[in-house]
Amino acid sequence: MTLNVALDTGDTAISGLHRTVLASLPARFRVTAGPSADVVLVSGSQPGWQGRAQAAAAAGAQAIMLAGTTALTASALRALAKESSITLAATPAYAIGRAWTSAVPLLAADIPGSAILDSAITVPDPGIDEAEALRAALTEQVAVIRTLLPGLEFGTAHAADRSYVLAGQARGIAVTLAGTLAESHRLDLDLVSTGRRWHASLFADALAFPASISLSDADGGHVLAPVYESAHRAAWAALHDAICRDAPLVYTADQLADDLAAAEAVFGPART
Amino acid sequence: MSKPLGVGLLGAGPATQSIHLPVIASLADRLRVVKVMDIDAAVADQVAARCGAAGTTDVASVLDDPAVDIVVVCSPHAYHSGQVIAACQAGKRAVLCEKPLTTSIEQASRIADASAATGVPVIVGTMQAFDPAYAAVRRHWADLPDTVTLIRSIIYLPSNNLMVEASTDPVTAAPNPSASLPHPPNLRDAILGLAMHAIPLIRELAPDLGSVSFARLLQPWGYSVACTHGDRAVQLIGFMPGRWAPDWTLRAWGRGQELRIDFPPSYVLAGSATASLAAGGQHRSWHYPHNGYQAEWLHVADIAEGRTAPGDDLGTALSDLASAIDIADQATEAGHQETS
Repeated sequence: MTLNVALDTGDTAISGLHRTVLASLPARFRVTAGPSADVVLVSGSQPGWQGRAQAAAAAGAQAIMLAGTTALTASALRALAKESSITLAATPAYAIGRAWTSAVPLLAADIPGSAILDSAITVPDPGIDEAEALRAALTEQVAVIRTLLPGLEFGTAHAADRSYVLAGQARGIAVTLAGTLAESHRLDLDLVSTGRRWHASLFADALAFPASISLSDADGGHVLAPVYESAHRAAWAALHDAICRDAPLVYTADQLADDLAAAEAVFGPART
Repeated sequence: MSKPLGVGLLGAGPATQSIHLPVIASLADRLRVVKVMDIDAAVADQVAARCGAAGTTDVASVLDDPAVDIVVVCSPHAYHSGQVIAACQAGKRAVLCEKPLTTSIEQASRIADASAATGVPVIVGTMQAFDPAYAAVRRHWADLPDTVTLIRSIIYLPSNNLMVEASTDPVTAAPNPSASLPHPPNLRDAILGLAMHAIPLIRELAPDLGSVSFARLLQPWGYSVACTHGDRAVQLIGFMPGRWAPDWTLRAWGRGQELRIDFPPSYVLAGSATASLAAGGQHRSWHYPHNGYQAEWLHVADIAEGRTAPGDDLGTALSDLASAIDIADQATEAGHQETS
């Protein structure tokens, strides 16, 4: 079944990105400019996103895909999710990429006995509103970390205009999260015990640049097979399955609200 | 051609056997080992015999030997200050001391006084600071120190024994039944023992590491520390021993610049680090066949022969040591708060 998707005309960057992503799912989605759409892409990076989401629901859309987070607040997102009767999905840059989700059970099995979970994320310098960029980066990073340690809470070791360092502890593991503005758009993660050291590099500079996920142990190195699919494509595919096959969403608006709340605790909520 | 400089080694443990002897062998036209001292006579004699030197258990025998131009202090940390000072007072041409120079500011001050009074240069063996790739990228990073916002020193290492066994046939002392058990791991020792390597490099990017905002001791051995100064953060993570490949990196991010340096592990002559600098959409990298130990020894030889002025090597080393001790003490306090 092919679903019609209306893009968010108020955000050309996000719409352009997702137009390309949707073009890689031609049997499942078709972009439409018409008034009726099965799914409406709503940019969470532009003010007024709640109104656009409510309008989409009122117009009969079956689902909303939220993309971008810099204008979202956790409380408004939760309120929308509570009042909305249609499917609300979100598309994080890293957390639901197939390379990562297929590696999560392997890494999760090594959580007991690990000493360190350390991650660093870099996002392109927007030139203005650095805090918004860092809040969005941290939201993405928390989404990834919570696939391994659900509900993990953090304390702030450092939060400034262009970088942050957070620290937490769960199940005996020292967890650190760092982020900064840079030229590249990537997330690195290490999960380390004395016997096994996982390293993951997840990339968002190019749409489908494959994640690099490797394990080093006494036998040498093992690199997981590359997957040339972005997390955004995986999110759309999951939404299609949710609508057409009643499958569960892999990343919901409520999850996004939880991850956003963790970032807001450091950088405050987005200005509304 | 002038006669090679005579080297006397105080302490004949893993650093002497697996680092200094192979490096000195690679610079045979400049350096030769004359004396090897160790408290274990058998170790001293065996190690000395391997390089055509004389073995001794007597520090004075090394310091009083006129054939010894350069004294290398490779003994346990607690002996460093006394031996460095004695070597200065013996009027040697240079002293190379393994890191950390000492474990207290007071001892470091006494070393500085001895070096100043005798005119004997003291160099601290933080090999990464001499790494040719690091030196090359440092010449190109322009205003990175002015704009850096995040620095990460991440060191994951396997057991030192693996590296030592790959670089020498180790001679070990007989077990001493009366020796005390090793101290349980603590943040201070971990920082002064391993994070100390990164301090001279970080100092070039961030002269003031600021205050420790987070510290945790890692088991079986390691640390995770965050320091902040204004809008800048420095993360220090070190962990060992692992049964996996080593991974030793220093990364820094500033406005429009990203620095990454991948260092080889200690003990081995595995070439230089690989340093890369991304700026303005361009990416440059540096790598050389010789490593920081070799560059360090060339520097020491140049100083001993008067080809290079020692500059403020010791002053810089003391400043680095003071930073490391400050971080170690703050981290210990913060670590206690974390766990209490």
